[in-house]
Parts: sequence; structure tokens; C-alpha cells
Amino acid sequence: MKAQETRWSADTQLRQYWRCWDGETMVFLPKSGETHCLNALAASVLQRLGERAMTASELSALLRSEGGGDAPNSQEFDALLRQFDELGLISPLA
Amino acid sequence: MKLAALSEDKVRADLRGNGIRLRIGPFAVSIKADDEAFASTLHFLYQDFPLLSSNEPSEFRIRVDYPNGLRRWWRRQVRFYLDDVQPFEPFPSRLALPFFEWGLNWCIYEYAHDFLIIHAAVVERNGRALLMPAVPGSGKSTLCAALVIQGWRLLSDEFALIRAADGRVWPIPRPIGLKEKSIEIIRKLPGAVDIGPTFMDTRKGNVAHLRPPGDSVNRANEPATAARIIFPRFQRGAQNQIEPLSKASGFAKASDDSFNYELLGAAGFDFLSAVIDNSECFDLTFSDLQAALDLIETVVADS
Amino acid sequence: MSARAAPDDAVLLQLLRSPAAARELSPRDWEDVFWQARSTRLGGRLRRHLRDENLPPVVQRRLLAAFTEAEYQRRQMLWEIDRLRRVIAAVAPDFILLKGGAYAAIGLEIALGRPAGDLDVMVPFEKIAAIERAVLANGWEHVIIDEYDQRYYRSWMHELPPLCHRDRETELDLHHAIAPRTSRLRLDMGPIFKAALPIEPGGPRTLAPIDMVLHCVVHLFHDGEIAGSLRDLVDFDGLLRHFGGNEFWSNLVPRALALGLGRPLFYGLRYAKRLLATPIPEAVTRACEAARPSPPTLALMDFAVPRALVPAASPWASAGARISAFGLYVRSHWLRMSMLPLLAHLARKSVRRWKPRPSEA
Repeated sequence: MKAQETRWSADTQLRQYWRCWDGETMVFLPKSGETHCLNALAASVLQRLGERAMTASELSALLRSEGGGDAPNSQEFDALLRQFDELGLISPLA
Repeated sequence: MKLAALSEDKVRADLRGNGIRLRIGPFAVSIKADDEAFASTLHFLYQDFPLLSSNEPSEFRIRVDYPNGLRRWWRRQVRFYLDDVQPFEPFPSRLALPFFEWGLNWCIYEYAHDFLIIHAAVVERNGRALLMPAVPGSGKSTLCAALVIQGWRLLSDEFALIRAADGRVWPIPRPIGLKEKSIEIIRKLPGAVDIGPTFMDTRKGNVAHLRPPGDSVNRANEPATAARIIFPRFQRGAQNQIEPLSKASGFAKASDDSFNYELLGAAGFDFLSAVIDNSECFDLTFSDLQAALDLIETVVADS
Repeated sequence: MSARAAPDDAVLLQLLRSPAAARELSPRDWEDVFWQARSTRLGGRLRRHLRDENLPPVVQRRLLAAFTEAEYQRRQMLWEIDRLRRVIAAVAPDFILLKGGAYAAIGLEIALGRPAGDLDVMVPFEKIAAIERAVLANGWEHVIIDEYDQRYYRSWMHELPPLCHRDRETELDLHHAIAPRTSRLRLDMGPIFKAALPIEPGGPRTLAPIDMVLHCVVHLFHDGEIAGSLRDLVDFDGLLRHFGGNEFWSNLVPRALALGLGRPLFYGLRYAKRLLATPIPEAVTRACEAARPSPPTLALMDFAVPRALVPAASPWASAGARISAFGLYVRSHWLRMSMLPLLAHLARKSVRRWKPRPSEA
């Protein structure tokens, strides 16, 4: 179905407005002016996509290898990435 | 020179003439008003406030004015103006002072975006500030008044003003507004002497004001570093308890109690983060004032 | 500053004409500046304008506050454009940005510290239906929801009623012409669409510089009325200073006359020069004489325009205030906490958004 999976990349400005307190993360996205509170999974995803662009499959595989059982399935993953995209936290690479 | 240096008659005359010019926290304010009772109450509540020198421009020019026409004489009304802007409907002239206070609050919420403004009471002890952000009805003003009577320095009963990512809060000590039952509760506290007149049937019920201690007003130039954030919630019959809150939750709740957090963008995030970095956060539910004060004491004791 | 000073002498205008005037202002003058800046919403603009001057700290703080508020709106405008682009890329990737959106998107100086309101976008008439479908499917909704009012709006105004984004609460106005909705002016939009320039290849466009200037002035003075505000005149002044060059100046008047916009341009040039000391080449002023109104009309406008655009006298100085009703600030909010499974969206929404006042375009 997917000819070529989308590669996602996190907004580079997030790094500057990122605070982690006791496992909860607050981030600010300058271009949208919105502040978001992320749980551990969401924070981990954004962090990874800030390090390098990845497809949903690559990301899912990576998280599963790191943390094991709790990683969401690919459907949940797609939903998460779509939501991040809507909020401008990540964008697809051309 | 302070307002107390002027006689009440002089204050009344100046209010009707060129205005009384005061430094109120970080703001330079000019006030004109026709009403006699307003002049007296202002003279009492603001006695320790410094007068501006003539070469200082004021930032807010406020009038509490009789309108022309019938309402000047019959069921006398007054209006609050910031220059030519009237944020409220006219109100009975006997309520001039409370409306002046609410009007000045409005000016700050509307125009002081050089600060991140959190709707909170702020008091300080031993160099550490306690912020109590809350919506109206939460009991923050009552708590604030009680703490101030116990000797805490008053920074504000209404605003936490933050203008840098250094964790510091700037004072704007002003009369503390007390509503309904709080008035009697505070009046009964030992050391509570300086409560102004009670204004009946304002839009928020009966209202009175505790005069800010002279020491707090004198130290209005001294910011304090935030160390504790307690979100109070008064609830009749509830169990009195104080619970730690995660910093992220504290951030979220504090920004929700800020009128202009979004407006400040990245700076807002940085300013609030610095405050949160330095502070432990708590939720406080209470039905009894003394119990609340005791619980607060358990979390602010020097570490 | 006396309460009865002529509008041209308003201290705000003195500063806009010459930043160095800041060195001569008295404390009372600065108080008038604060009031006039609030009234005209030019505090942010003034901060940019006075950035090379040594200002008293209190002035710096007030101007910073105004600048901060305006910059928030500018950033939100850019974000709105970004989000709209995503949604209508398939239908109209080259939609035209108008006014504040255009100024912000191309990074004009006048966009800095400029309060922005709704996003105004222009597309060819034939594409409006498809665009409306696309935005309605992506979080926008109609502001006027009553069916009858909708039909009335569309058939009377020949326009799409305004749209509002559900979550961001920002307003989107889709236009297919540059004349104001209520104007009797019916311009030939063909040349205007044709001349529009892309900001980057394949993406949204702005009007060509001359058309941008004419669009600005047609909102200020259409149908012989003063419809705009001092801010619009300041935009006009800024656009002329930015785009003014030989080619621009020689084509400005001919283009205006060809589009039937000579009269608004005449007024724009005249009052920008008078109130803001905008540098305008002599030849351009002469060429615009072709659109000069009759002496009685001109005399009336000469009297009325400065008084309409400039806050005249603060009632602070005198009794009997001019009333400007506001209504109590109402605050509502919602908070979605991090308890949500994936992530929480933190935003403080207020019912009263940072919108232009009803009298402004």
C-alpha cells in the first residue's frame, strides 16, 4: 500500500524549549506558540525524531528494541505521528 | 514623599484637580476622582505609597468620575476611565474604591505584557517567595491576608509579575481585597488592625480591604525568588489537606492561571520554567483557615 | 501638550515623523504618547521606530508590552498561514495573502510590532467552493451559522461569510476581490491576480507591490469615506518607503487610474505626507492631481481626515469624557492535562481574543 513511507523529523526549535521534570516533559513550539505536556513515550518519540529523521516503522522498531513490551503497535503509532504533524511538532521530509 | 504626608483635604483637592500620582509596585499611576468618600479611603489604604516626582510620567491615567446628566445627582454613579476607555459599566458612587481596585487590575491585565502575569497571591519570608495561583473564590486572598498578618511580606494578593528567566517575582503590594465571610474571619485574627470600610453589595458581594503593611510597600522594589507554589482551593466541609504536585502539573496549572502566558510565547515558557525549576508545587484543599495555615507551614519550613 | 492641540501636532505623530523628537518630550508628553499608542494600537510600531533612541525605562517597558502583544499576533498569523497551506495545497497552492498576512510572510519591517487580526486570503472566484470544502473538513467552521443569514451574506455581499478555526479560534476571510465588501467599487481583478508574486516557488503569493499599496489605500478611503485607521496610514507610509523606487513610482499613479483607484490614492498620498511626512516624489504628486476632488470636498476631507485618524484630546485633561465602551474582560479556559494517553495539548484560550476593535478593518 505504501510505496514509500514518510520520513518524519522533529522541529529543530523544540530542543531549546524542552524541560523534563520527574519523567514529565513540557515543550514549547515557537512557530505555533503552543505548549505541550508529553508523557515518556511521546517525549521519547520527539527526541528520536529530533536526532534523525525516521519512518514510522523504523521508529517503532527502535522503541520496541529499547524498551520492549510497552511500545505501541503501528496503528497507534501512526495516530501519534499524525497528531504530532497536526500540531507542527514534526513534519514530513520532502 | 508618601501619600500620608498630605492631609486628607489636600488629597481630596488634588484628586479633583491635577490628580494624585503614585508609584504602585512597578507602575506609575495618576488618579483623578470627584468622590469624597473615595478620597478618604484612598488616603487610608494607600498612605504608605510613594508619590511620583513631577518628572516621572505616569503609565496609567485613571479617573473615577461622575458622568454628566441625571446620574450625577440621582442614584449617583461613577465611571472608571483609563484615559478615554471605560472597561466597566457605570457603578454606584459609594463603590468607587472597589471599582478603582478592579479597574487598576484591568489596566495591568490588559497592558502590562512586559511581565508574565499569573493570577496569584505572592508572599515572601526569609528571601523565599510563596505563590498561590488561583481562580476567584479559591480563598487565596484570605490566605494571603492571614499570612501577611502573621508577618510574611506582601508582594501581591492578585498578580505574580515575572519579567525574566531568573525565577524572580516582582512586588506590587496593594490593599488586599476580602470578600463576604473572609472579612469577619480576617478581622478576628490577632494583629488585624488595618481593614478599610466594608462595601456592601458589590458585584462580588460585600468587600473590604486590608491595608498593605508599610514594610511591604517600602520594599516594593525588592523582588523575591519563587520557592513554593501552592494551588489553594477552598471547599466548604472538605478535608484539609496538602498534596505535592509534579512540576509539570504545576507548570500547566500556573500557565492556566496566567492571562498572558500564550502572548509571551517563548519568553513565557522560559520565565515560567525558571520559576518551576526553583519551586516545589502543591495542591491545597481547605475548609478551615487555621488548618490551611498550619498545612502551609509544613511545606514552607526552611530546608 | 494642550488638550486642544491640532491633530497634526499629536505627539504620537511627531514621533512617527521624526524619532529624534523623543529627546524633546516632557513627562506629560510621554503620558499622551502612552494613551495615543494604546488608542491607535501603534505601541509596537513605535518601539521599532524609536529603537535607536535613548528612552526612559518606563517608556521602554510600555512599548515592550505593546510590542509583545503585537508580536504574538504576528506569530499566530504566520502559523495560521502555515496551517492553511497544508489544507488547501491541493486546491489552491498559490493563494494570495493580503494585508498583515502578506507583510508578515515577506518579512516587511512594518509587520514587526503590528497587531494582526484575521487572516485575509484571496483566491479566484471559481476556487472558493473547493477551498471552503477543504477548510470545513479540517477544523474550520462558519461564524454565521444561521442558514438564512448565510444565504443573505453570500448573495448580498457576493462573498463567503467568515470562517473560524474551531481550536485556534482564529478567523479566516476568503476574498475574491480587493475592494472592501461594502464598497460600490467593482474592480477588474484580472490584472491584479496576474501580477501577484510568489513568496517562494509554488506557494502562496502576495499582491505585486503597487497593488499591495493600492489595496492598503482602498481600505482607508473607499467611496469617498474614511474607513480605515491611523494604523492603515502607517502601513501605507511603510509600504511606500519600502517599495519606493523608480519603477514603482512611475507606475503607481497610472496603475491606480487604470483600476479606478485614483481618488483613494490621492487622499492616501496627501494625508501620509501631511501627517507622517512620507517622502513622495514631486512627479507622483503632480500625476495624481488627475484624481483631485472638488475644492469643497477636499476642504472637508482636509478637516475631517486628521480628526478621524488621530486621537484628538485626552479627556484626562478636561472634564466630560468621550466614552468608549469595552465590556468586562471575560475569561474562560480549558486545560487538558498529561493524563491523556498520548499527549496533552496545553493552551490558554481566552474568549476575548486579540482582535482588532470593531471600527477597524
